[in-house]
Amino acid sequence: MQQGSAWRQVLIIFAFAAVYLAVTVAIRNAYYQLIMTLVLIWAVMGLAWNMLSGYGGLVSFGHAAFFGLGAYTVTLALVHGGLTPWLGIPLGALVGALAAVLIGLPTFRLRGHYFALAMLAYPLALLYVFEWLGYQEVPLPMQREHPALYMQFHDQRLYVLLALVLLVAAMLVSLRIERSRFGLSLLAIKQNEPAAEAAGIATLRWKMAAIVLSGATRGHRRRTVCRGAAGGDTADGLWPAGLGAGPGGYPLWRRRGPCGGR
Amino acid sequence: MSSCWRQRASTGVCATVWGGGAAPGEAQELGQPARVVAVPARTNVSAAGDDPPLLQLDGVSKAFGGLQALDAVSFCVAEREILGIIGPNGAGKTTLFNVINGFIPPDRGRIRLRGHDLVGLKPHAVCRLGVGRTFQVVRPFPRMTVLQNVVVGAFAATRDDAEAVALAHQALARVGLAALAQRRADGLTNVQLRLMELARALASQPQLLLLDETLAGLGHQEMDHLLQVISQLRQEGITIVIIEHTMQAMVRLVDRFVVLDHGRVIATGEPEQVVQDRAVVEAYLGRKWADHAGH
Repeated sequence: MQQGSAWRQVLIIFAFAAVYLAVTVAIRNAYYQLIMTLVLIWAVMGLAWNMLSGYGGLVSFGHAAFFGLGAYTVTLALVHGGLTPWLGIPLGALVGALAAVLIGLPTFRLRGHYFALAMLAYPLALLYVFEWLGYQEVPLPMQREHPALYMQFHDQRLYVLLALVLLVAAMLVSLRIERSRFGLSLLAIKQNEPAAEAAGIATLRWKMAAIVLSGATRGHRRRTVCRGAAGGDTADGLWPAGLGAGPGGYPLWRRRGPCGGR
Repeated sequence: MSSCWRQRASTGVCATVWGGGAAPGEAQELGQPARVVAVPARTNVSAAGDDPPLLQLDGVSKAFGGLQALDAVSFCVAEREILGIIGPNGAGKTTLFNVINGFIPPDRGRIRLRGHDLVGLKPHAVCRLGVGRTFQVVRPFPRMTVLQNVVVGAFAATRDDAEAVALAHQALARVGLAALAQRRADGLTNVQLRLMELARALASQPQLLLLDETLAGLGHQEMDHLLQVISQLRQEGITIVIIEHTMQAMVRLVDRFVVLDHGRVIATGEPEQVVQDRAVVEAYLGRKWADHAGH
C-alpha cells in the first residue's frame, strides 16, 4: 500500500542476495558450502511459517508436514518415476498446497493453543505413515548422464545459488503480501478475529489462503540440498528428519512472527 | 407511513403521529444546553412513505442452555430511522445484535434485510450485505494504525486497494478523526477508539449501522460530538439501530424505542410514550415505583 519504501526493501533484498552470493563463491570448504545452503533453506522455511503464524497469528507446530510431503514428493518422483527435480519441485509445491487445504479445512475450526497442538499431530502422524511405507531413508539414484538435468551438480555452490533464488522469491512474495489486502486482513485476523469478521473480512478464506501459500512455499523448497558435499549416491537422511525434527526449531515462545510481528 | 410506524406497541399503545423534534423542555431536564444536537425533524423520516422496512425480525428466539436470551422478538426498522434499543442489564440487547450480524445463529425466527434472509450467513457476509456494527467493548486492531484499522473495513466495499484507502480517509473525516490517521490504535483514548470503530463500520458503506452502547461512559462534550455524528449519518441516508442502557441521551436522538426485558419486547414506540409505559417503568424501577408513578 505504501509504494515508496517498497522499492527500497526490494533493493535491500537483492543487495543481500548479491553479498551472499559473493561470499559463497569465495568459499572453498565443502562443509561451509553445505551450511551456506542449509541456512537459506531454513530461512525459506521461516518465511513460509511466518505467512501463516506471523501475519495471521495462527501458531502452527505442524509445518514440518508440508516440508516432509514436499521433500518426499520430489524424491519419490525421481526414484520411482524418474521425474527430474526441476519438475519435481513445483510438483512438491502443489502437493504442499493440497495438503494445506486438507489440513486447513478441519483444523481451522480450532483456535489458539488447540489449533497449534492439532497442527503438531500432522507431521507426527505422517512420520509413522512413511516409516510404515518403508521410506525412512530413500537413496537417491546418482545420474551419471546429464546430471544437471536432474539437479545434480558437482559444484556445491550451484545448490547455494538455487536455494538463494528460492529465498529471494519467498522474500518478494512475503513483501508483496505484507503490503496487500491479504496481509492487512491477516494482521486484522490476528489482532481481533471477531472484529475482522464483523468488518467484512472472510476470515476462513484468508486463513486458507495463508496456509495454502505457506504449505506451497514449504513444499517447494527442499531438494536443493539433495546430495550434499559428498556428491555421491548416498541415502539422504534429511528427508525424514524434515518430518520429525521440524517443530524443535521454531521460536515457540514468541507471539510475533519474525517478520510479520507488529 | 411505513409499516414500521403503524406497528402497535406490544403493550397495546398505538403509535401516534409524529410531532416535531424533541420537546424543548427535555434537554434542559438533562442539564444540557438546549441547542446541543440538531436532530432532524422527524417528519423527514416518515417521508420514506410506504417503503418496505429495511430490517425485519420475526419471532427471533435464542436460548443459552436454560436462559432464554431472546424470546420471540419481532420488530422492524424503517429506512433512515434511528431506532433505540433499551432495556435493563441482561435484557438481551447485545445478543440481539449478535444474532442480527451473524455471530450467533438464532434458534427460531427470521431476520431479513431488504428481503435478504440473514439467518445462517457468516458475519462477513452480513457485513457485505450492508450491515456495519460496533461493539460494546471496543474491538480495535491495536497494533495497526488508525487508517489501517479503517481500511480493513473498507475492503468490504471495494476490490481496489487504493479506493479502499480513499474510502477509509473519507470515513475518518466523517467521524472527525482525520488528523489521527497515522497514529497507532493502541495510543488512542476511549472516545477516539469508539469513533475509529464507527469509522471502520462506516468504511464498509453500510445501509444499516448497529451501534452497541456507543455512548456509554462518555462525558457531555464527547457525547454531544457523537450524537452529532450519528444524526449526520442518518441525514446521509444511513439507518441506525443503537443500544443504550439509559434513555437520557437517547431521547434526543431516536425516532422510536424498542424496549427489551428478559429477552422479550415489552414496549415499542416513540420516546414520549415509552418513558411513560408502565411495563417499562416497572422493568427499570420495579413495581413499587411503577405504582408510585401513578400508572
